[in-house]
Amino acid sequence: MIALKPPALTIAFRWLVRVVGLALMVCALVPYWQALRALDQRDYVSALLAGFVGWFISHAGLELVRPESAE
Amino acid sequence: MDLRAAPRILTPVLGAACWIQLALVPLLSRRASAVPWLLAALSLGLLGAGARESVRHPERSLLLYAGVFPLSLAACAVAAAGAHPARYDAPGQAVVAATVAAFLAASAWGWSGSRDRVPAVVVASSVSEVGPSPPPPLRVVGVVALIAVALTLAVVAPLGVSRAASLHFTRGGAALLRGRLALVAAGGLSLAVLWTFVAGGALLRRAPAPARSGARAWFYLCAATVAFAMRYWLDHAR
Repeated sequence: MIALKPPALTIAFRWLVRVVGLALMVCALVPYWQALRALDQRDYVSALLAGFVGWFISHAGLELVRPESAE
Repeated sequence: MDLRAAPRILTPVLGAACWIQLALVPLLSRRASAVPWLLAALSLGLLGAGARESVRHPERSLLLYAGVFPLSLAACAVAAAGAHPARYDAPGQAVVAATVAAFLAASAWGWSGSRDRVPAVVVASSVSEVGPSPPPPLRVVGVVALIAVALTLAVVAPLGVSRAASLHFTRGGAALLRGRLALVAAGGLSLAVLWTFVAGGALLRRAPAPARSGARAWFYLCAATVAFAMRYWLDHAR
């Protein structure tokens, strides 16, 4: 099989996607923090939903950072 | 028992429950004009279209379920009530939140199950002669970010919350404060453990990972938007 090297623009785009993913993972701390604050104020429903927001954002970031498929 | 077809039935049912709670009940309770009713009918139609597309085009179905349907529900709510959404009491809010969460989980379940229906080309190529792919360039940074998030959730955030909380408890509330902090610390710790397991598994697994997909990242972002809108709505409905 001939290994084709992707063009430089594609490589740059992949790096950009990974950096965005890392930024999303770190940004997810904000809703997690809000979830803990809401939990502290006994606001359980708000805490649950803020936790969902953080969970989804961190997973979006994780999806962009994690390795490509091995095959 | 074959559960692969379950989300195809479960998702529209849960979506209809969301529609009843977020569109029908508010409209019935405040004698809305024709436009919100039309938007409500449109969102129900979009839900039906998502159910119809779930067999042949799961990606279209996901877009309808997690993107267009919640947006049309929000448009309906805005048209019906302006800045004053329907008022549910606390147990009602919990039920609405649980229904929305279950709907999102079911649509994600249906989407992840749709990978199985892809022809089995992957099976041949997973026994590849080129060997496993090299580790991605940012894996180390990803693991560091994972550890940072987990540590913050388990240690830093509860400490910060405790400082903020202690400002509100000046006298006589020490036991109450300890109880609240225990709750927050337990929440942060369980979130950190869950996060470490899931993110560590995705970053470090040895078995072939499912292909990285921008569509899945978009789905998570849509779901985060919906959850944020839900939280905003509930916080302002009181």
